[in-house]
Amino acid sequence: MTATEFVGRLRQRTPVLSNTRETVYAVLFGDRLGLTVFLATVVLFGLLWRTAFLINDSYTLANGLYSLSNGQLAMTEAVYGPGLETPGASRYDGQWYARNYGVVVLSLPLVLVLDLLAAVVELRIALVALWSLALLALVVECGYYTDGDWVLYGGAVAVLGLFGLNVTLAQPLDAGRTHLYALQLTHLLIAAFTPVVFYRLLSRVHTRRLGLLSAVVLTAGTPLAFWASVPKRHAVTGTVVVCIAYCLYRSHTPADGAVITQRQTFRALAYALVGVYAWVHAPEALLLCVTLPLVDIPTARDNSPRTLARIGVIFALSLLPFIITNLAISGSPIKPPRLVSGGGSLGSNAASSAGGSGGSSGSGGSSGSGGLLTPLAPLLGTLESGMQPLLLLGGELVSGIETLQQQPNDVYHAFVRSGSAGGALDNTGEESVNLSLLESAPVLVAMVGALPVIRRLRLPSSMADRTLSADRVVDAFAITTFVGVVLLYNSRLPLHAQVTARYLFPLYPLGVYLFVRLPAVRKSLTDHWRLFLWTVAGTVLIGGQVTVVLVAVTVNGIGEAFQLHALLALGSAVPLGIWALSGRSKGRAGQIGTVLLGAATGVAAVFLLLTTVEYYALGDTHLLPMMRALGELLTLY
Amino acid sequence: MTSVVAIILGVTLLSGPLFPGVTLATEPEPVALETGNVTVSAVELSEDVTLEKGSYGAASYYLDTPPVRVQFANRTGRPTLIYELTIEELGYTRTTNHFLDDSTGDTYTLTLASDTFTDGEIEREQYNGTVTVSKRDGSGHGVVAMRNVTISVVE
Repeated sequence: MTATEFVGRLRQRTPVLSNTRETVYAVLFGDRLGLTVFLATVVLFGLLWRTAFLINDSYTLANGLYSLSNGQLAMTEAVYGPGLETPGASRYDGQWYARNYGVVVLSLPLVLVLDLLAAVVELRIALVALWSLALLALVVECGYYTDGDWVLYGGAVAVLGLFGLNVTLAQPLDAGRTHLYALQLTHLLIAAFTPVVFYRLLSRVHTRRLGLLSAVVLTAGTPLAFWASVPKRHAVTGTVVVCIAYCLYRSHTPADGAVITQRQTFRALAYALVGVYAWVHAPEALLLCVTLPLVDIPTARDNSPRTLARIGVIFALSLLPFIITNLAISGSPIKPPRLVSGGGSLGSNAASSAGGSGGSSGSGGSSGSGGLLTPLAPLLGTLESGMQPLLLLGGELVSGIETLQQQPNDVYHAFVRSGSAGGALDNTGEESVNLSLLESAPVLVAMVGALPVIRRLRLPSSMADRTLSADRVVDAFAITTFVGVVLLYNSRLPLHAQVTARYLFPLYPLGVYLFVRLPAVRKSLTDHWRLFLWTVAGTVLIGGQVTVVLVAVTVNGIGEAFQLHALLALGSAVPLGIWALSGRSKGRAGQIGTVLLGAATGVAAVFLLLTTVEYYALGDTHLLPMMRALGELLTLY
Repeated sequence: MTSVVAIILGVTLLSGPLFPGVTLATEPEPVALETGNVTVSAVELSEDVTLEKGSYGAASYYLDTPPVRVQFANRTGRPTLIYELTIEELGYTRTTNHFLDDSTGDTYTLTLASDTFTDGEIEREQYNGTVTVSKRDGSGHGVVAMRNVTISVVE
């Protein structure tokens, strides 16, 4: 083949290649703005990335990944942390196993990539370069949306300047800890899709502008960025829940995409996401496995046995990785590490006793149904053990309701004000460093705006012939899952090592979705979007400096610092709540509401920045040398 | 844009073992501490040490020790100054080391890292403690100043 022939063939292929590119683009980001959201989020998460362990539980994942990258499912060596018996590790047949195998497996290729990179270049410089390239891509995208070339050229110079600064300040990155970095990178990339899919969902339900603004509220106004690079399930859960909501929406609207031409495919995809997520954290997948059909089946157009069977098959297939991993570890298909543990509580840490409880249920099933039913015994046993997780989930939800009635104080401390509550202290029982849900994301108070809407709501005279529109279906899913998550964890909160009520993490995207859907919020944000963005920027830049001074002057330790942020958050939440209750968005009221939304978003962002730079700097292990230098410079108490 | 990408990738390649002559990321050099000499001419010790109930609604008591100002008659090399507080009745000692170098001026403010005590640990309205400032330099360890202080509990 001559060179000309080769070029000719390449030319022929170009449309195919560009088609593939377009398709990948559309599938992942939806449109150009979606890509911009992704890049901006990745750049932000990169800024806050610290290459260290925030929480003991992550040791389990890192050691699991280390063993898996050496071809071993059982954990062989405690390369990270104090030993193999770290929170969340479980023991079967004398061997220790990790958990969240879904993300562990997903991180495997990244270990390989990072090891390869470390072989040819300095890992720190490589990751700094990747971050700089992401920033450059963001500049290019922003340049596309603005007139004139000054954004492009100014941005390119700034990127080069920042790259130079980072290289000048760089210290080597330990190339022996690639398993941790790979896990962090996986979580970070998954987390970056929460705002992307959130944008795509809301730009379909409403407008692209509202989609974009909602993505800003979610990324800056909730602790998403704090958890993004932490190898824990939380960021993954958030993305999965938003993706399910998106698929649910698409499955209830006529298909218009280039790739997926049938709405049934989106429906199947929603279920498949639940199945795949079970591979990461089974108890929460179980909850989704209940809330999704609860909303989807009554509202779907087509529930013929054939359709349901098809979805059932896809769901079963999506569960395969989960089932195979469980079979390999515990010998039981439905018993993942940590699902059914000692005291029958989903997710308690007594994983070592899990072998006992699960095993007895299986044998109990077969022995109890002796006699005539003997041939059916294995089937009944399977059914019974299949029901067990559901019963456990039911038990957890019921105890969540009981907590509401019996320990209203605990509920108050977990959701509204942490303060000096005993449950909200750290492990040593000294520092109040576990914020409530509202203190972590004060914007969520805007959800009370639902009250005036409900008051004005008139139910249709006949419910029977009324089919819910796609956006109402997503609302129903968001509300059901919101309530489900609250009840699932209610009995265990407040709890140490939560920082920002991390168990309740899915409530952040769900909550933001729900209040953005309220007409008053939606209209105010869209009408005064510039005002909103300026308020967020002003709160972060000016309010942030005031907060730094306040912390430096009045605070003696991390607990006081956290509680100062908590009070600032609640202080921004109270007027926002009052405005939301008024339900007004016309004229001045809309402007006031927008400013209050922006302020609450900004207050959370300031907490987020100071937490990652100062309070939980984790020994100033920031990935970016310039952030490390900033952390070293800043000493507030 | 392409040139910016090229520069970034080029610099990254330079950092690797392919170019052994170039070192881009360097470990901070280990510095020899406790060298040289320091003579303190004056120490300003405030006695206003408090155990204050957490502000902003935080749990526990926060130990608030005022900074100590020292004035040097002479300072060379990299000596270390040590600020220490002992509260015997609570079985508590806290030290904070301050590493001085050439960028240090004629005066220096020593701070002590804060600590917390649970509500259960604090039973009295005041405690007796000892504040010590000592130095470590080329000529060894020496106490610069020592004072008994009363630590008052502020609700």
